[in-house]
Order: sequence, then C-alpha cells, then structure tokens
Amino acid sequence: MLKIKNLHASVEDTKILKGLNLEVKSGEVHAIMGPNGSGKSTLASVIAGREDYDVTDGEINFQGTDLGELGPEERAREGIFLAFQYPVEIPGVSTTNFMKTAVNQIRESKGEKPLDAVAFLKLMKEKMKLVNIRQDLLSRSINDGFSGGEKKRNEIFQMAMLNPKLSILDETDSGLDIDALKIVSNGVNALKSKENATVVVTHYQRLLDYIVPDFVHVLIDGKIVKSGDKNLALELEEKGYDWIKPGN
Amino acid sequence: MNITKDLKKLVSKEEDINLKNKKTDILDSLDLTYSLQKEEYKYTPLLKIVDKKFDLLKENKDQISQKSYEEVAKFVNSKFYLISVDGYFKSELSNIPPKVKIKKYSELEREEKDTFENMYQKHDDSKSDFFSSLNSIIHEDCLTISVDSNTVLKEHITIININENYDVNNYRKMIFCDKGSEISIFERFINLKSDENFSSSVSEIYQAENSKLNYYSAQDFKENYHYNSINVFQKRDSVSNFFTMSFSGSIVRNNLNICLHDKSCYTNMYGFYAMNDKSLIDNHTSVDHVDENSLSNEHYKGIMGGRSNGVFNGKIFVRKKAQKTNAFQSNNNIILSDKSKVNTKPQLEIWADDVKCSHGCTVGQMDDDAIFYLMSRGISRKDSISLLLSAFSSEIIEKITDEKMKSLLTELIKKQLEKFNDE
Amino acid sequence: MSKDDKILKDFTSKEYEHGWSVDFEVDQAPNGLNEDIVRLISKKKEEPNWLLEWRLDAFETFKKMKMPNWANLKIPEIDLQSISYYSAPKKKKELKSMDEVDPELIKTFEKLGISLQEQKRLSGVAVDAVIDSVSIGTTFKDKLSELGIIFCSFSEAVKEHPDLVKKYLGTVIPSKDNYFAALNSAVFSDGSFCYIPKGVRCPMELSTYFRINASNTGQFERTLIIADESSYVSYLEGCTAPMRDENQLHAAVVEIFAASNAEVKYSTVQNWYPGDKDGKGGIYNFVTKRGICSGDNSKISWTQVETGSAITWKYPSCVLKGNNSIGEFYSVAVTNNYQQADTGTKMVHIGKNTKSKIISKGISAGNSQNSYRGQVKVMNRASNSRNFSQCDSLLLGNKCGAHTFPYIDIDNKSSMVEHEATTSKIGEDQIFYCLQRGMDEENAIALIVNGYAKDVLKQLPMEFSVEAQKLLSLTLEGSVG
Repeated sequence: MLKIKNLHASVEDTKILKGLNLEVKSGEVHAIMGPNGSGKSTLASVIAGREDYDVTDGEINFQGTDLGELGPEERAREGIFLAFQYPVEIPGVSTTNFMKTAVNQIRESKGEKPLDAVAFLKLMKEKMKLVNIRQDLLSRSINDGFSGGEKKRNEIFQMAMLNPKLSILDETDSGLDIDALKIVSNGVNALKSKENATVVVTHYQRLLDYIVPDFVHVLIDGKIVKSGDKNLALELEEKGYDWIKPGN
Repeated sequence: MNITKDLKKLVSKEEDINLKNKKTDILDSLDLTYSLQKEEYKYTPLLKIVDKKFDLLKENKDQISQKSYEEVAKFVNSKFYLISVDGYFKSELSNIPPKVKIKKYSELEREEKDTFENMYQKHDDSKSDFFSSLNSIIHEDCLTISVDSNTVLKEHITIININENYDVNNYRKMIFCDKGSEISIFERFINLKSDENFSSSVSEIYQAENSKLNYYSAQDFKENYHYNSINVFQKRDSVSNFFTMSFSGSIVRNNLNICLHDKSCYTNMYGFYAMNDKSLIDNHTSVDHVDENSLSNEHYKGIMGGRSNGVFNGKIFVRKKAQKTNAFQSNNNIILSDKSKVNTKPQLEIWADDVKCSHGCTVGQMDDDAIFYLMSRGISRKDSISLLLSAFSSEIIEKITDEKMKSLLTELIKKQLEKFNDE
Repeated sequence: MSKDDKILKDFTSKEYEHGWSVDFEVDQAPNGLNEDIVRLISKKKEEPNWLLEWRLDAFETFKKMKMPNWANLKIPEIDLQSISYYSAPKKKKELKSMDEVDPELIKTFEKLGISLQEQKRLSGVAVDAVIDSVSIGTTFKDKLSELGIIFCSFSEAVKEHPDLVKKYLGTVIPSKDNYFAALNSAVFSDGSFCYIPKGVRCPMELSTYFRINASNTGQFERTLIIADESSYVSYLEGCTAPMRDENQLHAAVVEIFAASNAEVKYSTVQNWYPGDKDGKGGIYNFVTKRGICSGDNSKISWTQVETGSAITWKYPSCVLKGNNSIGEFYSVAVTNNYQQADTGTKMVHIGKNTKSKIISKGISAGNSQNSYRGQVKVMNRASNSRNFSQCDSLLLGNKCGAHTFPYIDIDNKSSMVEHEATTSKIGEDQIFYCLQRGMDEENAIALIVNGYAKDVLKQLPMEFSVEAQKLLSLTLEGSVG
C-alpha cells in the first residue's frame, strides 16, 4: 500500500529525514518509535504533504501512485489520514460543519453525490459511538477550548468519518490519561480491517499495549535503524534508545 | 501665522549653510504642518494655549546662575550627568562618562560632524508636528552624544534640563549609539522659574546594529507646559526600552516615534501617568515596522484624579516588507474622579499579511470589591486604595531590570500616588 | 446545516452575480444639481409645501458644506452635476395591488431571488422594493395594518401619515449632520417608512430591497423607522446594482427612533457592485445611519455584512439617551480587489446604565484597504455605562491593508470601557488541517472565514445569514494562491 524509498526531507535547509525506507501493506499496523527530534513527526507530515517540508530525494508511493506532486487535499482524497499531534483550532467552525465539508468534497472528487443532511447525520451518529464522543462537542468550534483528550478523540472521530485507507497517528497518545487512551485505542482498533493500514508514531510503548503493532521501527537521526515485532517496543521501553544508536 | 515672518528672520541669520537649508525646508512646509494638527491635537489645546500665553520666539541668552548649581545637586543620583540650563548644554556643570563624546553641535570637529550632520532633522517629526518644526528652527545649539562602538555603560547617565530664566526654553539633542554599544539615560526637567513657562525638547536617536538603549524619563511640570518629541531610528538587532513617567503639568505632550527600520529590531515602550489637579497628559506614540521579524511591545497605564485629562494615541504601522512582525499595544486607565477624563485612540495600520498585532485598551475605575476585600481584612480605606493603585503601577515598574532605576522610579511613583488618598 | 451546503454549491459561480440590468421605461430627471432639481423632485412626488421647504433648507446647508476627507479612503472627485437625481420606472396608472406592478419589474426582483407575489413569498418577510429611486411595491401591507403597523414607501407615508413623518424626519440625523446627509435631505426620492405602534411585536421581518438599475443616476433613499413604546421590529435591508464601468453614487439616510422599552433590530447585507478586478466602476456608498434609544430600556441593534461597493463610508450609530438603553453593532466588512471600506460605528452614552457592544470583523484581500473607525463616547452623566468592543482584522495576501481607528472618550468615573483588537492572517496550519481532510484551498478559506465572522453572521435572521455566508465566499474568490 505505502512504499517509501530513500526519503530525504528538510525544513528550512535543516536535513531531518536522511534516507528512510518503509513499506506498509494492507491490514498491517506499524509503529514508528524514536527519541525526540529523530524525525517521527516530520515523516508523518511529509506523507500527508505538508508544504513546509522539502522532499529533496526519494519517493513515496501510495497504491501505485507517486505522491510527489500531489497536494495535501489530493492525498487525503486518495485515502491518507493524519491524526495531528496538535489538532488545529478553527474558531467559529463546528466539527460537524468541518466534517460535512470534507466528506462531501471527497465524495465530489470521486464523482459521487454529496450526502444529504439526513444521511450525513446518520453517518455521524454511527461514528460517534465508536469514539464515545458527545454531540455537543461536535457542535462547538473545532478544537477550540477542547481538552487534550477531547482533541484526540475528535481526531479519531474524523478518521472514522473519512474512512481512510492509511491512517497515520502522530503522537496520538501524548497528553492522554489512561481512560482517554483506552477510548482512543478502542476507536482505532474498531476501524481496523484487512483493507486498511495504520502507522502509529509514538514516543512511548504504553500506546502499543492497546494498539498492537505487527511491526515496530526505530527511527533515529532521520533513518530507520532497527525493525522488529512488538517485543522491540518492550525492549526499548526497558533499555531506552541509546543501545540502538549507530556507533554504540 | 503671525510668527512666520519672525521665523524667516531667524533662519536668515543661521550661519551653518547646511542647517540653514534644513531650516528653510521646514519653514517652507510650516503652513502645511500647521494644517495637519487638528487631528493630532484633538484633545490637547497646546497650540492655542501656548501661542496665547508665551512669546514663542523670545530669544534665549547664554548665562548661568548660582541657583542652578545648587539645584543640580538635589537631582543628580548617578556618577555621570549632563546639565543644560534654559536650552544650553553646560559642560562645566556636567560629568561626562568615558568613551562617550558629548559636545554642542557647533563645537564638533569636522569628522565628528559628518555623523550628526547626516542625522540632524532627518528622523524627527518636524514635518508632521508643528512644535517639532518650531523647535527645529528656534533652538539655539544642539547637544550631541556619541557612544563609541561596543561601549557598555552599566550606570545610567542623568540628563537634567533646567528652566530657569525664561518663559520659553527649547532643548535639542542627538544621540548616536554605535554598533554593539549599550547605554541608559534618565532624563528630567526642573522648573526653577516661578512664573509659568513652556519648554520644548526634541531628540533624535540613531541606534546602529546590535546597540541597546534604555531611556527613562520622569515628568513633573507642575503648572507649566511641555512638549517632548523623541525620535528613534533603529538598525538591525538593536533594542530600545522606554519608560515614560508623568506626574503633573498644565499640558504635557509626549511624542515617541520609533522607526524599526531594519530586520530583527526590538522596542519596548512603557508609560505610567498618574495625574491630578488640572493636569493634562498626552502621550502620542508611533511604531513603524519597516522590515521583517521585528517586535514592538507597548504598554501605557494611567490613573486620573482631580480634573485631570489623560490622552493616549498609539499608532502601529506595519509596512509591506515587514512580514513576521509582532506588535502589541495596550493602554489601561483608571478614572478616580467625576471631573477627570480619558481619551484614548489606539490605532493599527497594517499592510503586511504575516503579522501578529493586537491592541487593547480599557477605561475603568477602582474595583470596589477589591477595596472592600482589603478593608474586611482590617486595612484602612486609604491604605487599601493606595495599595491597589500601586499594584496597578507595578506592572510597568516590574519591567525595569536596572535595580537602581527601579527603586528611583518606584519612589517617585509612591510619592505621587500618596496624593490620591483623598479621592 | 443545509445552509452551508448551499454556500458550497453556489461557490462555483465566479463573477458578481447581480451585474445584469433590465430595460424598462423610466422617467429620469436631467443631470445636474440645483434648486430647480430639488423643486422638481418634490413636485414629481406631489409633496406638501413643508417638505419642499425642508428640502430647500437642506440644500442651502449642503451648498455651504465640503466633502469630508477624514476617512482613510482615496475618493476620486465626484462630479455631482453629472448625476441624475431622479429616476423612476414609469407608472402607467395608480397601482391598487402588487398584481398590477409591471411584470418586467416583478421579474427583476425574482432574478434577485425576491418574489413580490405574496403567495410565493416565504412566510414571515414583508418586502418594500425600491428600484433606482422609487418604491415599486410593498408586500403584506394589509396583514400588517391589522396590527396598526405602517410599512410603506416613504412617499406614501408623506401622503398618508404626514404628522408622523413631520414629527420624526430629521430628528435623529439633522440635515446639517454631514455633507452626504445634507445632500440626501435635499434630493431623497423615496425609501421605506415603518411605524410600530405601542406594545406591538411585529410578527414578521420587514425588508427593503434596493436596486440601482438606471445608469448615471444616484440613489438617495431615506428610511425612517419609528418603534413606539414597548414595540419590537426586525428590519432587513439588501442591495444590488448592475455592473457598469462608471461609478455610481449611493447616499442614503436611515433614521431609527426607539421609544421606551422598544427594540429595533436592523440588518443589512450590502452587495452593491464593487467594481471589476482592476477597480473599474462600482458604487460609491456614503451612508448615514443612526438610531436613537430615546426612551428608557430601549434597544437598537445594527448588523451589517458589507461585501460590495467600490467605496464604503458608513457608520451605523446609536445614541443611548434613555437610561438602561442598549446599543449593538455587529459588522463584517470584506474588501477585495481595489475596494475601499471605512466603516464602523459610534456609541454615544448619555443615559445612566447604558450598554453598548461592538463586534467588528474586517477581512481584506487583493489590493483592498479596509478600515474600522469607531467611537465610544461616555458623557459625564452616563453613570455605570458599559462598553465592550472587539475589532478583528484578517488579511489575505500581502497587497491589502487593514486599519483600526478606535476613539475612546470617557468622561465618567463609574463606567467601564474595554476595547480589543487583533490583526492576523489565516493560519497556514489551519489551511493544512482542512486540506488534510480533503478540502481544496478555496473551500478551506471559505470555511475559516465564515467561522471567523460567525459571531456577526449569527446575529442575522436565518435567510439573510445564508445569503451573507455565500457572499463572503464569493467576494473572496480567487484572492488566495
């Protein structure tokens, strides 16, 4: 589904990703772990097509399409979803309105008819249950004044609404208490299928108790330096990252 | 205007050809400048009153009295000090710090003159404010202060201007802060003349790359009239901090104009005014963001008692090229009495898009709940009020990092706030 | 939710959509401004002598005045002599009901989305339609008159209710108030009149729809709204004009009088032709709007969405004379291309415990200049008055300007005044967030801008709100990227 070859990316002339390779197949869950500043969030942003980052070399291929020239909205319409580490506040725009605009624009791009109010409401009700999110939260300005847990739950709700093929969760666990973490994880697990894939970017092993990965990759200094199964995460939790660093 | 003719005469007598040209230029546009004053002096009838009460063109004579010597001692609280009397700099009364050249403009050597000739009347507001125009033409000799590159003076220089003999006194100075230099100035005006007087002061300050300037002023003009214009031109990475404290004056008008001409400039403009009786304080400030990545931060706070009137006008300009500008401005006022008034006009003019600018202003009164709260803990009403007023002023005072200046100004503010106890 | 849908759907149409003009027979005065023209207008309208005298008085005042130049606007010289001051669709006979109105005119309004046929009209809105200078018909008159509500054209009011007109005309905005008010007082041709009697709550929205159609004419309408004790009315105003290369002048006056315990809500969606993308053509909009909260506990609320006009000069204001009276001003002003707007409000606190609130949201794009100018004045006897002002500016692109000129004049020690203002651009992270969810950039911006203006838009009656949101998106089209 996703093939990343020799990816180099930089922001304002600072090189962050330095030759990264990754392959994700349908039905898989991958975890990307690494110390702060190793390039985890950059990787997530680059896949989603954030323009602040320059891809200087390499290729990202998604379902046979080179993402290189595609804008963020085109990637989203191809089925890539990024759950933001810091979800953005847009004053005056409710989550409902936000989602309705997004859902219908994606439908339109595929030549489908937009959902009418009734159908949309039905879809929303159904997905709300998944992440245990209240209606009143959805009618408030998106992320404006939300607690950390509410923001992350809202991200997963959006993921459910858009039904992406590849979901990238960027530090979704940061700032969550254990109850919120469980709710978010349950949502992610419920959305898992043979047709889609998930990439979990995280600093802590804790999240991986709830979203169990098939593969764990360690990202250090812009490269994946080690890959393994879920036991690698436990090992990292115990030993830290130093033992794995190149040169040690 | 009836004074135009006399001004012409004055200009014709100017011997320095360069100055003469500049003065002629200002004189030529004087009518235009005058016509622009309606909005700028909307709440401050300085022009009308000064014109009526004083003969603005009265010539000053260069003389010193014994009285000035004595008075100076009371106000000097630093090692270095510069004394001017009736608009004239007195080197014999002053103590000049090392690595800082301080001279009258007319006494500059040829090579020193280049710097100041270039600066003279270049960055001031003599084309937009009538009083600066007037000062440009009628002041006698300009004080020049030149700080060598990388000179760092830890202790502040006190500048004392004494109005002693005349109705009208005009001060003028230029400060050149060379690269990497750092100085602090504390400026005060003293009125020894018993009759009402009018003084004007225009300053032009050039801050070269990476220089730093702290400028403190304390204004206590009693029943007198004062016009003050400080004009700052900042180059890359320079920093300026202004603290303007005003306590009394029939009319005190301060223009503080800062031009952040280069990238990564930084200015803080703080003001505190606490007026009573029939005082009028008018603070007009402007910050012009010309280039990228600069930051300006302005906060003026005022307490108005008696029949006093507070005027604040803050302009922020952000030019097209000045992307990534941050500009903040705020003005808070407390009205203590039925007869006092506040007119405030914060103004934003923005032509760049990637900016963060905000302004806010409030006019309100003492918080009755807070007074009651303090009183319920056994504090007298009088003390409760002065406690709350000094808390109001502390937000400005706390911004002063120099401990000595902080305690000097704290003391002045404390004395002034005691006057509000009866309200 | 469905209104958002509609916006998105309509988002595809590109240019100013009301740019057409219609040919019908008009009765137009020769160009030029002089006493004879003032007399001619008065005669055409068969006005009583007192009104003619009033006009002539205003004209004398006007002749002594100069065009104001204090606004942050570049106003090209306006040749008042090259304008026709009276243009009306020719009437064939006295109209007894809306059914007799020229079918061309009815079609004109239907094109604007306004049906003048009552049965087709959405329930709850009565419309007075003004084309060029003249009211061509008012709907739901009978139903309103059962309640004692008078809603008719200004000319009709002069004939049918001269005492009311005489009593209130010019009391809120005297003709000497300013240059354009004086001009309007001399040459106004028609407008709407509305009187809500004591204790009556007007059951439907009253609406005036203005359309400039003829070329080379100015539009000078005059609206007078009187809300008697304990009454309530919500009033809507909409305006469009054809696309013409030359500029056209619109100088209207709106006066509102609120007696004790009365409430008036006045909403405007101003969509005059703004000129083309190079700044050619467009309406010069110089409007004086003021309401007086004359009695205790009265309330006047202005809401405006300003998207049109080449130049906007407009400051809907409230004089809070009655104790405990309330004034509100909600505004969204959008400028694009070469539009200029200098708009805001004045809140004058005279009575005790008076309250005012100002929410202004400016949006500048293209090469436009957008200024907020406002005054909060608290008089000495206005004890315990409160004001809160919030003036935000949003910039799209780096060729436009956003300016804020608030005047705050406080002469009372027990009053509280707070003013806040911010200027910022649309956050790149906000746009990226929207793009990542599959929206395109134009949609993302429309969504963010509508969110930004929401505090004002939600003040509008439902129907207007939809139109306003659509307009915002349309006005800003093509301004980014």
